Amino acid sequence: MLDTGLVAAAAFGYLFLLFAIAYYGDRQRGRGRSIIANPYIYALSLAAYCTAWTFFGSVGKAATSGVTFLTIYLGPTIIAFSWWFGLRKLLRICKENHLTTMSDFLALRYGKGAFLGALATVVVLLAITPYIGLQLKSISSTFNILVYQEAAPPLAIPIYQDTAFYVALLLAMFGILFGARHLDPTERHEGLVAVVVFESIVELLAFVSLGLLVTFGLFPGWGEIFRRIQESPEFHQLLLVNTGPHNSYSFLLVLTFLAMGAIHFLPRMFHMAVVENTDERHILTAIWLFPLYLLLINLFVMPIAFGGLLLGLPPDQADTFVLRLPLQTGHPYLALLVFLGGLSASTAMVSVASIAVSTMLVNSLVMPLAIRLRLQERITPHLLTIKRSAILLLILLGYFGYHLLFPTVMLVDIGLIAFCGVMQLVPAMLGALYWREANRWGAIAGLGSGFLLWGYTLVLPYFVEAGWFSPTLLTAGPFGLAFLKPTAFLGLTGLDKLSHTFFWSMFFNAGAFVSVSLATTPSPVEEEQARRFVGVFEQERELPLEKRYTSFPSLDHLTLFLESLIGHRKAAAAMRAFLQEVAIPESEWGDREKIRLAGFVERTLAGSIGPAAARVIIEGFLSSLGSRMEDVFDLFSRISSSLEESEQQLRRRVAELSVLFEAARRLAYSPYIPDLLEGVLGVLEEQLGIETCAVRLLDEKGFLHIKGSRGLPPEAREQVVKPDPESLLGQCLATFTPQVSSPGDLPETAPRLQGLRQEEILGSLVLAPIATETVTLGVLTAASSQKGFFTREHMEFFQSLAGQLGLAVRTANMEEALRLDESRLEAVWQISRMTKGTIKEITDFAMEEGVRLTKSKIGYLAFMNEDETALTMQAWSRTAMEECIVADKPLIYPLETTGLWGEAVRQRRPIITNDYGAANPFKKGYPPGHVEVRRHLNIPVLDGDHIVAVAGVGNKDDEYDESDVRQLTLLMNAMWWQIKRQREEEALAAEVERGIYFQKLLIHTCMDGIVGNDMDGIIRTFNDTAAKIMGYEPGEVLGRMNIRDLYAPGRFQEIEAKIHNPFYGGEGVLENYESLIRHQDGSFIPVWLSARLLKENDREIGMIAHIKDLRDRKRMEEELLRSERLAILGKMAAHISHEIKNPLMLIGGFARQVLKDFTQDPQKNLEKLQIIVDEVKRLEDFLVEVGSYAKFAEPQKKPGNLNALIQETCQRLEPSLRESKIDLVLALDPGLPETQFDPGHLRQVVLNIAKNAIEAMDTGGTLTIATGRREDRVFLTVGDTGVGIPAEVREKIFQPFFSSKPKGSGLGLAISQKIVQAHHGEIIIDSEPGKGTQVTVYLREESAGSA
Amino acid sequence: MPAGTNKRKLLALLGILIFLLLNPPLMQTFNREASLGGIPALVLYIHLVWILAIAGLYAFSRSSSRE
Repeated sequence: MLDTGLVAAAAFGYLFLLFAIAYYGDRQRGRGRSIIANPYIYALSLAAYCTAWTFFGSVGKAATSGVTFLTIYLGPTIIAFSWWFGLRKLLRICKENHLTTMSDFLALRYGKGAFLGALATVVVLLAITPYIGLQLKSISSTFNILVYQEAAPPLAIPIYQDTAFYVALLLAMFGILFGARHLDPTERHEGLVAVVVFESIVELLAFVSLGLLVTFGLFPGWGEIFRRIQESPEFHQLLLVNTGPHNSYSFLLVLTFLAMGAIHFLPRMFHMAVVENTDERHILTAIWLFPLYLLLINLFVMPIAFGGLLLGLPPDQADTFVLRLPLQTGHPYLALLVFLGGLSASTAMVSVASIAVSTMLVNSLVMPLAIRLRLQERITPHLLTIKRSAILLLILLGYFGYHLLFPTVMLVDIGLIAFCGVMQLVPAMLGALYWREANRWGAIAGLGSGFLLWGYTLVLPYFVEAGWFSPTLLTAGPFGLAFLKPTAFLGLTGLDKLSHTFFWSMFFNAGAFVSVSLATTPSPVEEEQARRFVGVFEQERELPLEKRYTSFPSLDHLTLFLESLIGHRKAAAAMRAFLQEVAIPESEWGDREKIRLAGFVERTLAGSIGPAAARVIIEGFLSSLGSRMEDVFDLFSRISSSLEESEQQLRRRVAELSVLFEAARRLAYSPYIPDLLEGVLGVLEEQLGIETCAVRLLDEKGFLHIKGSRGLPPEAREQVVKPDPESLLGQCLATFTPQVSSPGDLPETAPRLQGLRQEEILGSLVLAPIATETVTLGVLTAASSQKGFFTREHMEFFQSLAGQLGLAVRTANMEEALRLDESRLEAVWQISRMTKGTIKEITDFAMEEGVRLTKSKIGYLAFMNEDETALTMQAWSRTAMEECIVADKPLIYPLETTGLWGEAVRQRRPIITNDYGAANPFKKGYPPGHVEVRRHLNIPVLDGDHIVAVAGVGNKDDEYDESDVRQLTLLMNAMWWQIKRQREEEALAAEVERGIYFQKLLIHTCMDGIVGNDMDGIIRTFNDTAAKIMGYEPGEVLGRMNIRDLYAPGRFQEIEAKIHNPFYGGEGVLENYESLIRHQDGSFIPVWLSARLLKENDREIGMIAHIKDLRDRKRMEEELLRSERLAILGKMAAHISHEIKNPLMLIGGFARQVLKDFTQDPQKNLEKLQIIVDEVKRLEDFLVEVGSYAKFAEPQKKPGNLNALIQETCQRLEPSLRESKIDLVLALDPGLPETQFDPGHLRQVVLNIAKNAIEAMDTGGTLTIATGRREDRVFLTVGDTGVGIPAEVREKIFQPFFSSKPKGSGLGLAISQKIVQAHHGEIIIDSEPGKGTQVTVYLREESAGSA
Repeated sequence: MPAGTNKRKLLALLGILIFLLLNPPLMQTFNREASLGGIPALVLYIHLVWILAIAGLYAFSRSSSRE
């Protein structure tokens, strides 16, 4: 008995101490210096397992059933063996997903559905409530015992007097203060953990102290206690097991299993073991430290229990032996310590459990419900309040529940009820961790059925006992159905209550879980979660991107969203953490990062409101923004689905591919064959560890040369082998397939080893052909004495490798050839540009290039003479010159004495001598001091059939081949061509020179003046004759004067015009044209010129004119004209006097006769007088004609119709026509335009011509008069069919006084011509004697033009 | 790691062993009225097995945390 006040004070003091510790723990965490991040702390925190139940109940159980109580603690010890795998997995998953309760875990795993979480919460709640209640009860009853020595009878005290009630309130406050100060997504409460650990230590201390007291204080030791119990008849069976149903092996087994389940899935245990864990590795300490703690704390249970029994305490008070013993044996302060220990145990359990379960309530019941009712916005700001209320509620519920339902039950049994209850979670939890096929329906079915059976078979009987239901339920079953009896379900009897419940609940639970899971298919979300859960330890790989988000919100937007739910600080911290994790700035994010962010936000939220709620909220948020998950096109889905290989094969293939890739990389690195070979050999040696490998390449003759090797001695490179068809090498080449040989095959395949080196045949050998599609290039060999046999898969691999090599070698060869071609083209091009170079420069260049392109060391070039008998050295390569020290190098070599290098000429083809040392009939050696020749190539340079030169190169490192011949030939040909062209050009230039000289001569010695001008008129050509004519010096004129100035004003324009007119000799031609040029002194010189337009490509570029000085001729013409005129005048005078004389004679004669014979015959006198008058008339007419001829008046031209005039004239002619029987034909052009003419004059002309025509046709004929237009002239023709006019007459016909008629004056045509000329026309006579005559008169259509 | 999996197998083996030790066949052998130094056989047996379990767990923990 202790003073109430003391006890109360002690209690409060102790609680205050706990507060302080908790506060300190939380503060340290806030400062970042966690006091509990320590494996020992973690291990001891698990001691929350030991509640008042341990403290009091174990003793109670030991006193009643003996050793069986140990199973509760052995269970955890056994299951600790699995913690490093199982618990760690659970831990990993929960940490990754921010899971803080079991219901969240289940909800997340099984499709993020809320129902399962809610169900789990309900199960746990119902299982735990009585447990909480029992803690409260134990506190109050122990308090009472301590103070009153008696526990108060239940139900006797009103609530407000019940200490337990106040304790409940106190504990609620405690829980709120240290578990619900704020909403922490991680739900870690360091203060609480510190308290728990502290309390565990206090418990242990108290218990051990008591134990020591009892064992060694009250009794002489363990042995004594046990011995006395053994001897005690009523208690000795406590030392054995399996003596009855209450401690049968099956019962023990059940208890062990229950303990194994409870240690994980009691809410407080889950919280301490999983949620409060700071580091996975702490588990390693917990697995041994915790069982050790359990061992220690249970060491003294039996002594205390048995001691109590031995001291006579009633067994049904065994729960409180721990208090009664010290009290009754006079150790009240120890009792107080024990009380405090018990208090510790209870408070720890209640606080942690209430916090854990309230979190479950909020996350799995409240939030999903709120979302369902669309109240989440209203609820979220109040989440903390809700949580706190839940804590209070829970504790009070425990209190009331206990009061109402379990007042009489022993502590230990209540505990077992709870254990069995949380056991229902085990199948679902295990399935979540290890079974991918487990799905939601299975979990719900299992949990539901297990829960129901648990309730029905275990809880219900207690209700019945408490009086809530009629006892017949137990005895006869519900509705009288005996096989549904709660304690003998389906007729199963013989088991104790617990085992019975355990069996049925687990049977239905697991059975439903498995069968329903198998029968249904998980949703894609579940599958995803299953994969993530079950494979959490393999999660390190990147998952393929199969989905992406559309219109994903920005980081800021999401942060705001988070803030609205968990507060600004936490949201910002979370986002910062995410950014650090991702380490890429937002602008560079791809779909993968966005999905990660979505998941991260969801998980962060899940920590505060549970995964189911978080998922719904996030999805709601995203879809309200229009953001959706959509499938990503899996580009490789077809390939990956067609890959049917096992993981083993795939792994090997990846390894192969990585080696091939490395090889390909090295092969792409360089275009040079030695590098390529080294690359591949390097891969074989470094990556595959093959010590001996070689690459052999084929040359043109079919010999294999080792071009690269590893593990072979250097002289191997010299080996040249022609592979035998039977040998492995030969077979490999022929069949394009790899060959293998192993040491065991050796005796059989000895002949087949031809060509292979000793080192290669020591171990296993594989040969792979290096080939492209159709061409084999060589063989790749790999040999190893350590690797074992080469299998078919290896052969395929080597085939691939060799194939790659083949391709690369072929490409390298092609590129090499290309490069060489390029170089050659470059050289040839250079040569072609050397148009200004001398022959020496060209040949030297060609020589050097030839040496370079054929990779030779020396070279020479010699020209051949015309008859191909001697060679003249032209050029040597520089190195040849330097090295050769032969004195007196002759330049000319007769062909007969030349050795091999002359063979190229004699045989008229290129000669390759790859080994000068070998015997050769044509060899004639070379003089001492000459540079040593090891191998050389000589080619003849041909021009058509003719050899014009010989070129040679020598001392190439490798052998000369056709490619070199090609190079050299093309180069030399280019060179020769260039030389030839130069020579031809020179000849051409000389010829051109001569041509020009000759031309100049021609121009200047011409007797005519030659003047040429360009389009601007500038004089470009001006020969000496022109200079003489015009009085200028050529220098004054050339390039200075304009052609227009050389001509009389306006004359050049005329010429220009006429030259373009095709009428004057042709288009661009002017022939026989008279014009006037101007002498230097200003006088005009008449000239006769021919001109041509100069054209180039149909373009006028100038004009050339030949000019003849007409002055002399003109003078002569004038004189001739004058003398002609004089002659004509003379003739005219003679003619006139003659004409006058005759009539005058007649007149005189007859007049004299009349005078004489006046009186004579008057008739004769009349006749004679008549003759005199006629003669006088004739004279008058004649004189008129002469007169009209002399005073020829200017015609008065006026426009008139020619046709009209002709018709008029014809009328006058009619009589004459009729008389002479002449037909008249008129062919007058009706479209004749008006012409300018003097009608009088023209009439005269027409009359004249017509008269002549008529007189010509004195025996009749046809007179044809026609008019018309021809070009720009009007013409009229008068044609007759008379006697015609002979040629010699036609010449003179226009001369005055010339007449072919006896009576003609001879002036008619002369006058006509004058008239026509005055009209700027002309008369043309065409006549053929005997046929007829046609006279054509041309008149200008237009009026008088230029002067 | 090969060493790791071997250790794990060993641990699992020990766990199963402990479990079996605390079950009928072997338990029964000690389930009699005998005692050693005053302590009943069963009690002693159980505690010894318990200590063995703790020792094994401790050994595993030590070697695992050394990696």
